[in-house]
Amino acid sequence: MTWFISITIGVLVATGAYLIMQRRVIQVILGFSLLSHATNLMIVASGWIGDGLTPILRLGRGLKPDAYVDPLPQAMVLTAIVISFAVTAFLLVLALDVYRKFGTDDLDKIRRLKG
Amino acid sequence: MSAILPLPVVLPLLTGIGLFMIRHRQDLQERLSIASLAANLVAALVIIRAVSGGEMLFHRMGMWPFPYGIILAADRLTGTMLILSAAVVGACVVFALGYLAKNERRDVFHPLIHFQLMGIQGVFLTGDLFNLFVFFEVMLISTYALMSFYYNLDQLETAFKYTCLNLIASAFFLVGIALLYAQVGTVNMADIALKVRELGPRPLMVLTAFVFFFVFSMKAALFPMHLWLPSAHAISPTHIGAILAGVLVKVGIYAIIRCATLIFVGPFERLQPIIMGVALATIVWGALGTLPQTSLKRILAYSTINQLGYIAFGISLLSPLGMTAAVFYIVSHAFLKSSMLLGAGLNQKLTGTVNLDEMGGMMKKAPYASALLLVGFLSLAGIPPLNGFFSKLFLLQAGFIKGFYLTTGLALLMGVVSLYYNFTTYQRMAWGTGGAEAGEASPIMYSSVSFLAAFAVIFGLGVSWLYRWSELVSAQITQPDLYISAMRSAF
Repeated sequence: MTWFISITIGVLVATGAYLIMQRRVIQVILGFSLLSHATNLMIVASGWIGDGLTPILRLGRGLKPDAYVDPLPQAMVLTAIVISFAVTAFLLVLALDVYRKFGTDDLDKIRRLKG
Repeated sequence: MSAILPLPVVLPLLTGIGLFMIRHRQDLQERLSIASLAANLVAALVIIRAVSGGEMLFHRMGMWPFPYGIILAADRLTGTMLILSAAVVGACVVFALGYLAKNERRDVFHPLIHFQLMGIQGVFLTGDLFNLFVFFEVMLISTYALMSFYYNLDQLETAFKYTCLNLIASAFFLVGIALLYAQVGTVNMADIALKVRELGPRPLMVLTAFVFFFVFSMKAALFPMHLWLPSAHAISPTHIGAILAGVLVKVGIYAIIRCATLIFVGPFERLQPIIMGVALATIVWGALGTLPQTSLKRILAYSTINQLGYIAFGISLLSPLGMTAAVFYIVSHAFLKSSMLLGAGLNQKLTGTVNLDEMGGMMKKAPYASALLLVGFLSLAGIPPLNGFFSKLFLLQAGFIKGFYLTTGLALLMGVVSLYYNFTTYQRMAWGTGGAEAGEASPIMYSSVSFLAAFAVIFGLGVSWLYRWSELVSAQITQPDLYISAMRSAF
């Protein structure tokens, strides 16, 4: 499973980086949101144990902390998701404003408009 | 006593929410905003009084035992930074009362500034690395909104650039946390420090430390991640620019200090050549960058980059003396640079321009406003007995004692460049002949600029007092065991 996660992170980062370097504002924003997914996956992976159980203690299984996946990174990722959601929403509003004012979402054209 | 620690976070949060609810009643909103900032300053004074003797305060959020859960912590460094943020942000908000015309979107300005203050003070108080990330984001998201305040093209573009750069930095911050958590399995700063020391400076740990240094140097505008700063300073409204220069970049510096003295002591010793190189490049770039500029605000922005380089140089010496000089520099620069940016805004309000040649002859047109800037420029140029002279003196002394003759010599050389640009800038502004006429500005703006500029003189004349305090701060933070054992024994 580890190799699968690593490849997924790699693909997400590569796609995100490619999109960030595009000219249209919306592509840049999508690129950032892919990048944040990659980092979130990386945090989840940092608490990963190969065949760990879901971190919910059940009666009868006994207390074996090593058998469970570390739940803390998952809690941290929840926070990180909310934050990236908020920032993406802000960026979208910003992009919408730029579009309404200048009738384009092309970063090169916006730069030319500024002169 | 430690129960007061959540106050600098909770008070701005509640104030921000409350002010947003009464946004249609501007007079009431302004009064409440100022009252809350005053209470915040009092809280910071109480905290610094409690930690000045050398003991530390800790407060558990959620009552978890030691390495788990979020812990708020305050030592002398935290106390110093809290005073700094409370005073500078307070003065900038007072300035904004005079600066913003009646219907200039004041309704959202006050709530946002309180959310920003919450983020800033949260960063200073938290003892938990992931919580540090969260407070960084709270601070940044309000800054994005404040930067695009007037919604014109320049501001939208600057805000977009700043947001994108910070998103990259945030992604790396999370990567750093993932790398660190995979190695040590904890996010409590004292606990991380213990585990990092056990593991030693192995390559992966040095890489992790470098990721964190990269992230924080982006916030602190160190080379090569400084490119956002000049346009952010020049384009944002003056009071936001002053908070950026006075406090926000210091938040990045504060995080670097915590990394260097507490979290990554071993790995940072390995990274020392890189950090010192970055610091020197920042000094050189900032000093030379001022030369072709014609806008007063842009010159001040490049000079901020220059000064941040000096602060980073002090940290990169990794010696108690270097840290003392850095702390001294942080405190004096925060008051000095925010007073100068507000002064530039005052002149902009008077003449309607920030272009030096158009301003020309301010000495005659607006004697008091240009005298306030003169204090700042003399101090930046390093003329005794103002504080800018002593900041550089202590830094160069620390560098020479540590034996870095060549690098410290280069820093000294750039001091000469800064002498040159400060004098020519003031000359063009104050003595030339420019077309711009001077108008009126409200006395409230003068008073807040004077309040901040007064510290340049106070810290210069009372230099031994501030230096002794910096020494105390440095003595405490360069012994990470004090912090770790205090946090462990507190719970």
